[in-house]
Amino acid sequence: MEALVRRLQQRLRKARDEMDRWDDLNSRLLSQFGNASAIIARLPVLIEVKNYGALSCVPGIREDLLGKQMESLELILVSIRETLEEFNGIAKSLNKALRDTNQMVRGGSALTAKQMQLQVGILPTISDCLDGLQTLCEMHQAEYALKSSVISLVTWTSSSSDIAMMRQLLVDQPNIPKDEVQSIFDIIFADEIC
Amino acid sequence: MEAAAESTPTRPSHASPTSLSPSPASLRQWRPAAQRNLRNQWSRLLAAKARWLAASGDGRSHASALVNAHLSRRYMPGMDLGVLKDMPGIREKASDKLARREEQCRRMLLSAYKEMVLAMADLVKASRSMRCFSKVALNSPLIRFTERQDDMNDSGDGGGIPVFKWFSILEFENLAQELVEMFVSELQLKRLLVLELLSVTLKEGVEHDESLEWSDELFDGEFNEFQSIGLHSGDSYPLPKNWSADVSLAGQPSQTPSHEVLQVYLTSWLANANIKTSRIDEIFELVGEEMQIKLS
Repeated sequence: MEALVRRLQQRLRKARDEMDRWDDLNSRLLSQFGNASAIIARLPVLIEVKNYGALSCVPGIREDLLGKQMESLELILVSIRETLEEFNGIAKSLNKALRDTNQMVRGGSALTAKQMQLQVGILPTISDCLDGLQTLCEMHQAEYALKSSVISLVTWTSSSSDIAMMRQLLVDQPNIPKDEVQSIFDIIFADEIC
Repeated sequence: MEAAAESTPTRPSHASPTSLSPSPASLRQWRPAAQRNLRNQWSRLLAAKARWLAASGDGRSHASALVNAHLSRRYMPGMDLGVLKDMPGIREKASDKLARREEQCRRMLLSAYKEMVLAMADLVKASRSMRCFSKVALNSPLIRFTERQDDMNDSGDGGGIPVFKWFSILEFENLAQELVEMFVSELQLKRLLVLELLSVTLKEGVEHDESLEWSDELFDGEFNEFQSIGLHSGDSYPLPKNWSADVSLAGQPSQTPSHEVLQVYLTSWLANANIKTSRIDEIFELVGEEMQIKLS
């Protein structure tokens, strides 16, 4: 039984490393989002002819500038979508970890409920591992879905209050409460801490 | 640009009896010299382009620092200074400090602009040195080559034959010209921005009163540089042809540009609207491939 728990921990450690990338990705996403919103905020100013001052003597400058800004915005949105795809990759690999661990448990002889709950020393029980991973999977899946729907709402006409709200959602990551994640890891990797 | 057109001899047509078609022997010697020269000139173009872009990036940060300092100073009288508001002379001191900061940014912006002009001049010169002329040497069986045209019958293009695999000298020149045009029009736009940013901040300055005009030289030797690349001749420096002069720069209303206008200025500095980056990369890639060297 102990050997099985150790193998589960092993697999979960790999999943945890994947999850570590999530936060790096989120700071990348926030900086990309910041660049996009800077352009979106500038567009209303660039649209007004009266804001061109001395530049009004340059033919086509307004169209050129707007065109360039839209082009940059488009490029940023493309790279944002690439970042989203990486989030999706992490969510998928957590799912994979869940399937693998289920396989490890079901693969052998059927375990009784008692065996599932059996605790050896400070090692987690088998159901701690499975349930914990299940929760983490659901969190990241839901957060990925939230992020993609937030990003799909970004257009060049988004208002500044909308943008601020979207940014807040991307920062908060409401589906991944940090303390809950921590307490799951505290149980599963209790023997690491000592 | 007219100067470039003038100095570009037309390709001798094969049917024309007046054009001297170069002998195979002289072509055999011309080719390696022409190849060497083209490689040098295109590396020079690449370096000049990088230098220009770096200077433009520096200019951008100086310009936005200048605008920030300027706006802070403009808003200083109404700014909420919190507990500091009771300190004697605090607003004056802060304004003085910002004014000095503006002065510093102005100088740095100007020197970035100067660097852009110099890079531009180098770019143009390289674009006009693509041809390779044979040197008239007395009593020597060897043919020497030079960038200067000694013999008016020698157009320096090897009779229009491909220098490496496909492209003739004229085709190399056309690609270089395409680059030059982008950078020239962007430089003129930047010049207008520099002019505006400098005069805006001068207008509210204590010690200065006059505003700059398009025909003013922005730094010593600026017009010399322009002259050397044929952008400018005679005493005056005219507005670029397609710009409308009725929105005259000199006749700007005395009111200072709003925060939004300054934001548009900064955005258009950043945007490099005339520089088509992907086309530039394409040109260098194309030429690099043709010459079998890496230009990037």
